[in-house]
Amino acid sequence: MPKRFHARIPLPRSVPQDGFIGKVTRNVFARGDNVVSCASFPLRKCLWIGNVHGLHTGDVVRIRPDGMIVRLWDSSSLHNCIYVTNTCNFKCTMCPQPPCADNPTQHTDNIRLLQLLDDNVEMIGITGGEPTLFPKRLTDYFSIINDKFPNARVEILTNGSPLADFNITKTLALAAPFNLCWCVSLHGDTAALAESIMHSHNGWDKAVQGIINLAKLQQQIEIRIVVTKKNAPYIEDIALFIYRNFPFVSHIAFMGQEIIGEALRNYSDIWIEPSEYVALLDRAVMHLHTSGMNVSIYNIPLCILPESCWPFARQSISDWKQCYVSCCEKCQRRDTCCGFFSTSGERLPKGIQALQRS
Amino acid sequence: MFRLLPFEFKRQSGGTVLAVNECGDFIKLSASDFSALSEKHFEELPSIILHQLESRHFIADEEHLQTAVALSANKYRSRREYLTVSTALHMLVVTLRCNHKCEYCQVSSKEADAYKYDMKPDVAEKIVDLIFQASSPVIKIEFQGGDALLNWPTVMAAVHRAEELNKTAKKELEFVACTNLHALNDEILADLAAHRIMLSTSLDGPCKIHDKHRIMRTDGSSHKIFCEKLALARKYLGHDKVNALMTTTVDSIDNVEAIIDEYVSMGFEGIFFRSLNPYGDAHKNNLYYPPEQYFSMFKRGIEYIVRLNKQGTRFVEYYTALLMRRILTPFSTGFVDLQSPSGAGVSGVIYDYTGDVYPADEARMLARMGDARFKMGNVYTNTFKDIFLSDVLKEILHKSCVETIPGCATCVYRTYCGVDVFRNYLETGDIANVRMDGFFCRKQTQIFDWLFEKMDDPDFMEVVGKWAEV
Repeated sequence: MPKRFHARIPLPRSVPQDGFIGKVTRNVFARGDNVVSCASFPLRKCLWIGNVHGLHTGDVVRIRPDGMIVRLWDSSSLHNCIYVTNTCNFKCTMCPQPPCADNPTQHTDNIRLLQLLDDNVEMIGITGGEPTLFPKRLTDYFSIINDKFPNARVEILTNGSPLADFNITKTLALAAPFNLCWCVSLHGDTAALAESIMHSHNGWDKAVQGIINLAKLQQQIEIRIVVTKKNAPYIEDIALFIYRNFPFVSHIAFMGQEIIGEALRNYSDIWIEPSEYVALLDRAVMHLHTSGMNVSIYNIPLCILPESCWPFARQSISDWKQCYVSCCEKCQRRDTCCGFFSTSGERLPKGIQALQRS
Repeated sequence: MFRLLPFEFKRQSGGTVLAVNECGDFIKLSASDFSALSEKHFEELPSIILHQLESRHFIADEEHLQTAVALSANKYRSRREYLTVSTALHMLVVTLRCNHKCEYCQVSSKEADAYKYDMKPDVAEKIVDLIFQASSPVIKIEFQGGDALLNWPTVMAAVHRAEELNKTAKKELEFVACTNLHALNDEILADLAAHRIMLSTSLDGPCKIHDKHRIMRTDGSSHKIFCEKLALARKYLGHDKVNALMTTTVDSIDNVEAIIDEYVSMGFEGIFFRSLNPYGDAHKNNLYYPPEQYFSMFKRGIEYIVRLNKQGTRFVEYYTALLMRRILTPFSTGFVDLQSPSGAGVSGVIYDYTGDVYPADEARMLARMGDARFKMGNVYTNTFKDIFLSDVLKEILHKSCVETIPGCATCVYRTYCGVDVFRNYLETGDIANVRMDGFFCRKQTQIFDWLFEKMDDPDFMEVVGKWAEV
């Protein structure tokens, strides 16, 4: 979720209920102060917001009627996302972001956001909810991205199931930016296993068909597996399944859990200590790696992984929700470690320790 | 509700059962698990086994059958991908003359001055014109003999024509010359370098073994000259531009370690264990051995190579690498001599000095011995379509699918194996008749049995498993 800032702002009287969206620019009159420029705002071209610590030139923010500034895009970060919708057709046991009803204004806000962004954007995440439930919104974003940021890396997070419709997938693939990767979540190698996690009848079959369709359309595909108590015993089978059936995917990521939302509610059903499955994970990762596949481990700190897994561990946690714990202060590998989800609160994996550089 | 998907199986020596499905997925089951599976008592299977059987498409839940079939179809298609491209390997027999008279020669080479068996440059050009009608994005032209270097003007005529045509065709074009290297000279070296022509040669082992059957028409040691010319070729062309093949005779069987040592000391990164073919002079000269003897050499050789790798010498046996790739990866493999349907004519084709086209060298040899039934046509009298849609080729395709050949159809290894149609024809008079007691089938079965047994040995797989990616 985006970061919020408090600011005392003299707001004009007729601010819309949702506030308005604008881009932070430098105030040319008062050095060091930020100005939010907002061409669509009826009364003024721009709004002086003072020198709010943490906001950068190029950030896109929403200013709410109560004076709260919500940052929608941090121009200094590579972890920015567009939230296409909050709704989803699955209800995964470990979802950190439980779905709710769709609000169509989200789409117009996203369009506005993309239009405001500086041209030098390197990385755009597209997520939800389930983004592909709204193919028209996606093609709208794609066309702006193709115009304004043709070289940006675009990652779209999806459960893949709406892509089982070949025509939808074809429309999206034809409109897709050049450097786009479909990051498809697939939490099991059989229908029974996957459905026990995502609670959607035939959802796994559709996701599989979605991946096949993307491959037919020569799209770049990443497969993401969140490791929970349910699928942990089958990590090696899942790896073998992906290699045998989807050898065309460009990347495979095994992910540790973020304990918030549904994941917090279902904690006892889904939580497994990473230390209980890292040996299996190690074998699965090595199998994929020696088979020539690109593979990564997300969200599991180095101190819990066997050393053979370290080359595959990434600093995967988005900067705005990443943290370290007190034990990490003495750790000499901290600068290459993913750390922890601040959103998981006190629910930390067991076995955290400070590592020495050998 | 689960149901069985198609698969074949075999009881292994330890009592376990190996099962392999249509797409090359495999699983090893205990005898009791297998009997539960075969009787469809799925509830008796441990949950992890049940899960693996479903994940690897040996069984499917009725409700999700469509997905299992869709995935299996994709896998099956991937493994057969080589059938979707037209013929890529084109072999030209530019001469039958040779400066050697190897005792196992399968083409029955001729005296070095028997010029009437030379391919004329204009025939080579005509052949190249035909080759470029193939839609394959990769074209590999291999010059064979006799010794290809002995008719160099024809080789270069073909190379020049191919390069000319490729200016517009823009295919990935490769040239290989098959030679014992003896005739290598400065002029030929300059051409090889200028046109990036690779060399494929023969090395049977250390001097004693090599010279035993690779006999020069003039006196002297073949091995000695080979070594000099190999060094020369590598110096001018680059170390990796020369590949060598090893032919197994009755005399190599007990010396496999020495043969491997010879390859290692000569700086080769791997070896290809090739068994003798029962054609041409090999038969006549009684250099033959039973498959059990070949297999014992093969096994000892691989075990020796594994030890070398463990000691830090990176070295590969390419036939095992091919089988490993078939067993451990989902990909199609382009090895002409072990395909189903047969790769003869579909993946590779051979042109005789007259311009006659044959699906394989064996078919050309049969024609020379008076049985021309496998001739696909002639580049002067037939069009590309005539040749590559010839009844001969259709017959080979129809009759060489392991799925339909009696004996092969129920073999657990058939997904990884292939058909040697001409060996079948020679042995039985029918290209579709595989003799289960024949050399080929016994050799293949023993190798597969052993490899699947060794798959449980992590030390072995740490070396051999990685060959799948070679």
